[in-house]
Amino acid sequence: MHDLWNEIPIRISGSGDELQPELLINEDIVFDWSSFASLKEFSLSYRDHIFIEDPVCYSKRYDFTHKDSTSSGLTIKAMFCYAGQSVALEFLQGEPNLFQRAIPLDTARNITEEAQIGNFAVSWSWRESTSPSNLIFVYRNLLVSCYSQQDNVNLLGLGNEITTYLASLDTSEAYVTVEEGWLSNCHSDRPSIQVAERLDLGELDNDDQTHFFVSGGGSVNIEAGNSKLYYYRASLEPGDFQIKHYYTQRADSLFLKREILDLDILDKDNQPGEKQ
Amino acid sequence: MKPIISAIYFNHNKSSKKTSALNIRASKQVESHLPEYLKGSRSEAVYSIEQTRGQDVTIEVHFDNSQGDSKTYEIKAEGGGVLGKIDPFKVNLLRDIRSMYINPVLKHRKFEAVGKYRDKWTWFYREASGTAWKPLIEFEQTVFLVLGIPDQIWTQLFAHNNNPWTFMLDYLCPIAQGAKTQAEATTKMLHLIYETYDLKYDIDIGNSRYFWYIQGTVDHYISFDNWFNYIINKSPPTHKQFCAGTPEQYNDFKIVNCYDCAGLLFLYSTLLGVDAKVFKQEPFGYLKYVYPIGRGKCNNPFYGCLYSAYAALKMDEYGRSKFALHTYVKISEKNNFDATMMEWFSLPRMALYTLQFMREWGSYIAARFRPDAKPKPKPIFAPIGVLANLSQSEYESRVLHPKPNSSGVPVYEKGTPRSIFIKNTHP
Repeated sequence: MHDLWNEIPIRISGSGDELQPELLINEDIVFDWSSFASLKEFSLSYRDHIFIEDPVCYSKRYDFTHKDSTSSGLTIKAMFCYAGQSVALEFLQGEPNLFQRAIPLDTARNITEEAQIGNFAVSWSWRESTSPSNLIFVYRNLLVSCYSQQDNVNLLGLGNEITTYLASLDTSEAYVTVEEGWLSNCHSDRPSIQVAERLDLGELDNDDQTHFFVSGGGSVNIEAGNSKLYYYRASLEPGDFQIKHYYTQRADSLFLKREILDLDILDKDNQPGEKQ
Repeated sequence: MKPIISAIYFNHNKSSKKTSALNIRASKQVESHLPEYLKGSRSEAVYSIEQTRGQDVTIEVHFDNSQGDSKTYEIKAEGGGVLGKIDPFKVNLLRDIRSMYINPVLKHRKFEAVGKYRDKWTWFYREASGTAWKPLIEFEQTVFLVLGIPDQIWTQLFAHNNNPWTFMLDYLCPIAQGAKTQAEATTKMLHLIYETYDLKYDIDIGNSRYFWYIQGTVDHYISFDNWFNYIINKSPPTHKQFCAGTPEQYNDFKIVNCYDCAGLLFLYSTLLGVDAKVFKQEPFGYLKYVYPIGRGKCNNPFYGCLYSAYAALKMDEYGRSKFALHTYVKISEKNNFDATMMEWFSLPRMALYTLQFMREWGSYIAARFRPDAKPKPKPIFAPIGVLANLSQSEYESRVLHPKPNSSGVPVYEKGTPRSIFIKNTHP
């Protein structure tokens, strides 16, 4: 791959001269796309999301269509990396490896300083055009990638606007686990259950918030027939485990908060009934 | 009085998959019911053909003796389909014991081929040997048979979100019904992906719609939930059009690249118990004439939205595009299965292939009539051009085209295939 990508490991290892102290975004990330001047000709037509458990990342994809022309489209993907900027940079490095078509290296440029986009930004074009078709950048612990099949999108202006918005958000050096939340309401004391047994957690609001679980020693499940009711099922391994609950405070936010429930899984008594 | 069967467990040993059914779940977030039979309510059971071969596979039948009888019964079951009948066994109900269970062996099971089987068991009892059998209960049980233990993305750790999902087995097993080998099952899945979803290759930039990747690791992430909703459930969002306003316009969510095709083939095959892995080959190089998924004859895969006339160029044409990388599935790290493209065949080659196939059938039939005939596998008709079950060198010779270097010597650009790891994302 191009030399540009070789800059990334330097930034991850912290030996790059331009590297700033890593700060994490610590506020709801809600893109109000209608307020972006670069998108005034576009309207948001679709969005979906995915959650990656390891490393914990939450990504949303936004699709736009041009207001006057059905033949122009734009896709923006934004990924919030809970573990920090290094993970976002690793995903940035991985992105070009998902294209089967080789990136035209003569069009690839580091435009971080020039266009004032992100902490590290790269653009390239698949077309014979001066304007890039792809822009990918990392700002703090957020990865953003934009792709347009047509020339009528100002991707650099858009990247600059997104950066300005992200720069306005609160930051912190580390994330603090929420002490009092839904899990602590469900179980104020550290629960103990036997292997293979069930621990009821409670109901969750899935409309205004988004919830994800990463659990050790078992799994968090939804009650069949009631998609709001959650419970934990222990595996066959006794020990100390954690249920980690990641959630957004608003359905349209990318920012995740986390709470943790510690629990003990104990060896099981004998099976009821007598074997013949 | 007649005995009361309160429950039957097929997955009665969550740690052993040799003598018990597999750990499964309905979907990523919803568990299956255990016991599988509980006073009339039923759920599915899944068995691995390979792991149960030659083993004493048992079920666990629970009897309710809450009335405190002290009696001996004989029990048997007729029918059962692939599970087979259950030979008579004795149950001694004791006055002080309210509940007891017994593990009869599935001696007559027929675990031979992948499939979804829904068969009826009729259970009988009698109070003493020699008396007439009386009907006890009757129920239908759904059993899925898979070749081996689903591995890689799937796990048999009890209570894990990636225990095999029965809603997917319910979809895939009827399609792979009858497959007895890993190659057969994987080829059926390859046809499913290549032919039935109306997918089209991304002839613009070869991008994935369903994958994420971390550089420096082997971890790739597939958004299977989106795939399932958009492609299998046939409800892709229609707002976004690939190559909008051009002759190539198509629903963007049905546009795929090699990661999508190989990832799906991997996901499907491993669920059926195939030892499959995804391999990435980078660089890959120039193509011979192929049919990329949903596309026509092509050796210039990135011909763009406006230039379909340039999809198939002369082999020595300057400036034709190539695959910077490619992914496909290997079984047992050996033979290749490529769901992204098919090989193009000229008419003479097609005729030759058909003749070859007819000759194989001829020798198969002739062998059956010989007195000393040994059983010979039936020739499998692979539609012409399917890139299934090919050695690495055979695969490369069919799809890769060498280009002359500066000295005029034809060379391949291909790299060494390396396995990558696929993980599922959360909905």
